[in-house]
Amino acid sequence: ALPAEKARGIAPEDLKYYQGGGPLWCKDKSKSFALSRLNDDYCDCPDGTDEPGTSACPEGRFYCRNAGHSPHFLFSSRVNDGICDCCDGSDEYNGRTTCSDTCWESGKKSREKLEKKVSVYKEGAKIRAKDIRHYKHARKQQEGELSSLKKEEKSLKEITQKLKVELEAVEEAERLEREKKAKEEQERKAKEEANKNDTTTAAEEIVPEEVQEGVTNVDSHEADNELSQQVKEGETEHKPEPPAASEVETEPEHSELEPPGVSTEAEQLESKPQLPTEVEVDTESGLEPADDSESEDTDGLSKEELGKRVASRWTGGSSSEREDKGEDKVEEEYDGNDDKDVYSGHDDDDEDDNYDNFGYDSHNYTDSSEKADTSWWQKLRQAPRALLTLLGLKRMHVDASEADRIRSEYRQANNKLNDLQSKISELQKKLKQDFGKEGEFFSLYDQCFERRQQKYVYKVCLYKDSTQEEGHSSTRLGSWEGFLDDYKSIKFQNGDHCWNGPQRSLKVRLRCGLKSELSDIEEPSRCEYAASFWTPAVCYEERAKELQAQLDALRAGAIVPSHDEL
Amino acid sequence: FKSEEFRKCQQTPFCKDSRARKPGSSGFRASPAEVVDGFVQARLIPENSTGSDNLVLKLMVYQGGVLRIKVDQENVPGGKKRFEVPDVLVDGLEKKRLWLQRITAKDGLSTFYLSSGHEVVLQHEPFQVYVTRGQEKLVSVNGKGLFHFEQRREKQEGENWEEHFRSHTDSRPYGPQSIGFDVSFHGAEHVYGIPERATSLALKPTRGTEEHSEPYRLFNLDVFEYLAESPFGLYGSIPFMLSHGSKRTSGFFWLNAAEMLIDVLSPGWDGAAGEESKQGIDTHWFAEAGIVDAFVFVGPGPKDVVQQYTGVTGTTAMPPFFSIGYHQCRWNYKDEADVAQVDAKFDEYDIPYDVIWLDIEHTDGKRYFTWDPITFPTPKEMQAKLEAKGRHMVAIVDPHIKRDEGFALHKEATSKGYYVKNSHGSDYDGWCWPGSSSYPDLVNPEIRAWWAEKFTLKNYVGSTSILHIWNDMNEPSVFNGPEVSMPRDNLHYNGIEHRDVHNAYGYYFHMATTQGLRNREGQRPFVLSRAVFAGTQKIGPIWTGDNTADWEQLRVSVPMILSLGITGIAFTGADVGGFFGNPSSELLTRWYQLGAFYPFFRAHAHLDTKRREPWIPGEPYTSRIREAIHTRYALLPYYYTLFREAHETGIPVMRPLWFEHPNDPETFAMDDEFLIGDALLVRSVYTEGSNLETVYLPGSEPWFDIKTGQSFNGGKTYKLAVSQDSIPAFQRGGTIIPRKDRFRRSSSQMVDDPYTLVIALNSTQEAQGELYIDDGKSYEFEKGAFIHRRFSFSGGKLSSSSASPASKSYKTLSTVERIIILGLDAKKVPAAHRALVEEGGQDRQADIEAAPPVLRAKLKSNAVAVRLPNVSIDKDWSIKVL
Repeated sequence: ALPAEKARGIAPEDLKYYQGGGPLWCKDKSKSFALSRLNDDYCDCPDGTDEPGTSACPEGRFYCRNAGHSPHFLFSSRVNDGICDCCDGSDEYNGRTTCSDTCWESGKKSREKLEKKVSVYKEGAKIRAKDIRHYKHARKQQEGELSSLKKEEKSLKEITQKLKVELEAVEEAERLEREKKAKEEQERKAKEEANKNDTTTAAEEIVPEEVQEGVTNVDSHEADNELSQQVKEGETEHKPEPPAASEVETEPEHSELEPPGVSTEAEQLESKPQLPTEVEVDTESGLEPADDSESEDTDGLSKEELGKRVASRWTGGSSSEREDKGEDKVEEEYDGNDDKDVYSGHDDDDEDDNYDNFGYDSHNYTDSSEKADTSWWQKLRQAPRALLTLLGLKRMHVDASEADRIRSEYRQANNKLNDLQSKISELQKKLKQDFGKEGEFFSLYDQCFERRQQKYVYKVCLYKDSTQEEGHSSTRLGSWEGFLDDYKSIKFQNGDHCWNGPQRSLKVRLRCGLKSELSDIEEPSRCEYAASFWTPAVCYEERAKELQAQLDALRAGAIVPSHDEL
Repeated sequence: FKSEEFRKCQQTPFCKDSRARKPGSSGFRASPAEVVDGFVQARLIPENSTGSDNLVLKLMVYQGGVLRIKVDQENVPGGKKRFEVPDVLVDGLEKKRLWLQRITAKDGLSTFYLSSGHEVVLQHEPFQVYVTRGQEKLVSVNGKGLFHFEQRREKQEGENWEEHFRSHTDSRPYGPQSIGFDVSFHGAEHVYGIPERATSLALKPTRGTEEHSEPYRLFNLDVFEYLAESPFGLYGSIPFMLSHGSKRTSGFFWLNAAEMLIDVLSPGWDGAAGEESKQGIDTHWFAEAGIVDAFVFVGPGPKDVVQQYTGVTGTTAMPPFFSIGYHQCRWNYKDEADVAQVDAKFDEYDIPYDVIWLDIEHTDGKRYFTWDPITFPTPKEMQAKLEAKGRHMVAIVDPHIKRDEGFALHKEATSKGYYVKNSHGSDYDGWCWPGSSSYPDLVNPEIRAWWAEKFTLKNYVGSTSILHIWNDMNEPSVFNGPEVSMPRDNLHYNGIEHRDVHNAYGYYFHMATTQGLRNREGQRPFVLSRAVFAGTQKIGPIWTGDNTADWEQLRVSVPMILSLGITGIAFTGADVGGFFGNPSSELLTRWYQLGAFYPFFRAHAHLDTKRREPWIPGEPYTSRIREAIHTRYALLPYYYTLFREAHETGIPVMRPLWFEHPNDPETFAMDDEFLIGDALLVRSVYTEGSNLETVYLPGSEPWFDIKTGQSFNGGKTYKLAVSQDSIPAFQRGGTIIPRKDRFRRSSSQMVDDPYTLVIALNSTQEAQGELYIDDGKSYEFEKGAFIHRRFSFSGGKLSSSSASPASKSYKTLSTVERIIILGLDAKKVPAAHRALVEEGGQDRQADIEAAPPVLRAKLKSNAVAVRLPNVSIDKDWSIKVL
């Protein structure tokens, strides 16, 4: 066995590499060295093989045993640098710095931390599994629903077609009738004129106008129909506003298709962020109105305006706005990072902050799709006229002519068809979404999450878009782009343009938590936002097991290398 | 860049008039000279003199070859003297003045002693002053007869002195008062200096037989997005020019802080033809106001001229050690968590850095000396955490004070009358970051003392001893002022007009801030300024301002820094990465590779740019950037030794090739490569995707690639393959460079680390080098608390001796762990491969073996290393290798 001084900084699993006896090789095979040169504070192997326990080699790694906590590799630059890095203090051994052993204490803390983390992962993994089960079930149903809707669409199309034919026939008859009447009238008029009797009824003149109106209506419905076809084809595009009629006529059974908590179409439309202001669009195209006018026009400016304008070259905004920002902050209610140890450093793997505040509100998935009325489309197979009655389509003019009635029925059937087609397209769009490896993100579909940070309210709608709101003004941070890094994060892109900069974007890091929640929104680079999103969807069973193994090892005092630093 | 915003020569009456003057139009004659109080004095009498419009000429001589020429009005109406710039010349200059005894008058010439071999000649009619060496003229003033002096006088009935530029009116209450003259540098092939501008080091002519360009302008301005090639002046003004030719270097400095313009005239500009026109370089200098207070430096070499100039204006302040490490800056590290995060990332990636910076957003509403209560609620705790890792912080303090009744500093400055006044005498109200702002009148020493007091740890709430300062916007930048600065008719104390003192305003601000930090606890301050004036070097560092992330600006940073260096400002750098815009990963990496050799090494970025800390571009870039920063840290002992040299002698850290090779005309216009000290030559890469670069290696000694140890003969041009991993750098044969090869978090942890001495042997197998060490913090070194060693290799033996005696010992634990020898004839190494180490009368042996010049994987062992000689760095010893 090596004397303690020679073995300094060597990981137990590496010890046998040095215990062979005889000359040793640098791990990169660049040269060999005598055992006497091991840890002699002179770098022989540029890769650090000969100096695991000193700072002599630039690429060296020092192993701290950290009994009571977890072992740890340090960069050789930390050895004897006067700063205690290992909790056991083993990195400072030249007598110039005294380090106390804090491993037991900090080990206890990190075990507790890890315990919590493990429990969150375990609990989260259960929720995740449940979400996946739900997804599988819901997907089947939605696929069923989609095929029913398609069948429905097919027969409704037939009916509409039939009605159209019927309507055309009736209208043709009407036209003939009208012509006949007109002819009769003419004859009668001629007669009357002959009789020097010169009276006309008002009603007789209205008829042609009514016909005119009816034709226009039919045309506009066809146009709507075309529109919804287009939507269906371009499913990745943003859905345009559905025809107003469908909003009015939304039927209760249909709204139940959506999981609770999801905003209805109408709500989403309302929450749709405002379009970027015209000014921003202009500056984005490279034209700076301020600059353009400046060369000719600064003479007319007040001193203050001139100052602001020059300041804006550096800042892009008006300098007064920038200044106000500073002042406003004081008055703003601040609910930022108070709960964080701001100096604890940023540990990438540190997913356990804040989670203990998150309870889990189990989602009550109402199995709404089961209740979906699958029988009503069958009724459509019956005779058009009777069927329309069954559907509850009211006759617009009870006393109107046959033609009016058919027209009204046709119009309503057509509306229904549009409505149906937009539902189909919505459903198809949803089914095409990426819900994760196993559908674990399904329950988050179209859900929105808000977080207030300083004076802004950030809103992230999954599978949709993200915004930053300040009072009544809203800035788009980007629209849904998809998952990144093996479902570790989400990217929103092509948000509103920044002055002199890129379009805004948002990267959301996904972290395991019991309740879906948004936090830690930052703007690390100008117009590049970052946030954390806690969700059970990333509480992986395997990770829970890994963490459990780490915890078990820690508890048993066994050695499991931690990846905290390297 | 908005050129219409700045005055062109044609829009500036005194400039236009000066340029229109013809050679020989001067018309002054000098009265017989007399010696008064050890200097030479005469009257300059204009043609058709009224008797009351004479000028007074004083010629003074200082030790070491310095002539001073002063010309002022003899009578000023109302007794209002013309402005002389105070507090720029070094204290004790008067002690160095030679007490002249006699003048030799002959043939209309008065001649007197300047220095060994040099004489001053005053030609009486037409008036001219020149310096000679034997029969040879070196520098002439008014040799071309362009001397012109607009005297202050009473305003005549109906005269209007106002000037207008864009929407601004300059009331010019004292009327026209410009001064101009020509200076000829005989035998010069190039002229250099007069920074600050983005242009080549060797100055191109601005005028000739036909007009080439605007004259070089010296007027401190905040130039938004400056161009990479322009005679236009930037943030600083140093009215000091060097001339150089194969035979001689000389210099000329005009101490004047008003707007100044300089034409470099191309041969034949005055109609002279043939050989006569090629005898040197003529220049034409003119300023809006002030007096003539000019200095001629006789050289003979480039280092002599800089020593003579810094003997008059001061040498580089000894920087605190941490400040020559790497600085991480950005507008803005947003909050304490951001600072902590950036700090932690450096450790995560094992990249050293010494200082993190906070830009304007850290303040509470742009009120300097305050902290934003939301983003920086606990500044002391933040600094304590940095201090625990041996790191430092720099926060910004600008001269524009927010006009806010609730701001105590503003209230105090207002009530004490400490602000610069407008032409009507009330506090000047300009516009800058805080909005409506006023500017303390730091020209006044009393106000400077008041300002300095604001930096005590007690007064500057939230500051700790690791907090140092950045003075930005001190040209001063005024967003709504003429040319983005202050109106020229603004008033400083004693009725000094801003036009008189403009170029030095930032200098006084920098001075006051630095004094404030120095008072704090006797520690060496670090205060970075953007504005520069002659003498700034004795206060602190400056940087080249708001550059842009493009290859052209990477390229121009080298002549900019060289130009500042040879005019005394040794501690400078350009923003690594480029301030505006987003550099590509390759450009960013190349910038780090070059920036690691800048005397001042700081990365900085504009608010609108993407993050670009070293780990942002990812691999392979991050590793290359880490390597560049590590190279700098390894060389810190060498840099610190060079800063000591700059502090002692004024010779810059980063030097043009001709500074060390003054007889090699190949180097005179070269500014794409440069030297660090006399030992290192660096050739940066300035084009994207380059894999081949041309490098000229001057002199007759061999040069060694610092990474591979490969040797190259001097005096040749090479086409070298370059990789993306580093830029070409060479150590000259005959030099010894001290290094510290152990990586640390910051320079603070390197204090006790052992040294590596890298010996590059010359053709006679000899080499010399130095190492200077002190505590890196205090002024104890002034009392002799330092170690200054000289290393010498000859006869196969390296020995260490004291280079300058210390009166007080400074202790160090450092030893020498490795000696690397490049260019050693390997056959001569004894077969036993043992070196004989002798220290304190004790002998021992150390192994000799083949090794790479730097400890990096996959490098060939092209050098010889002495393993663990373990001699103390502060002792006399010798190591016999052969």
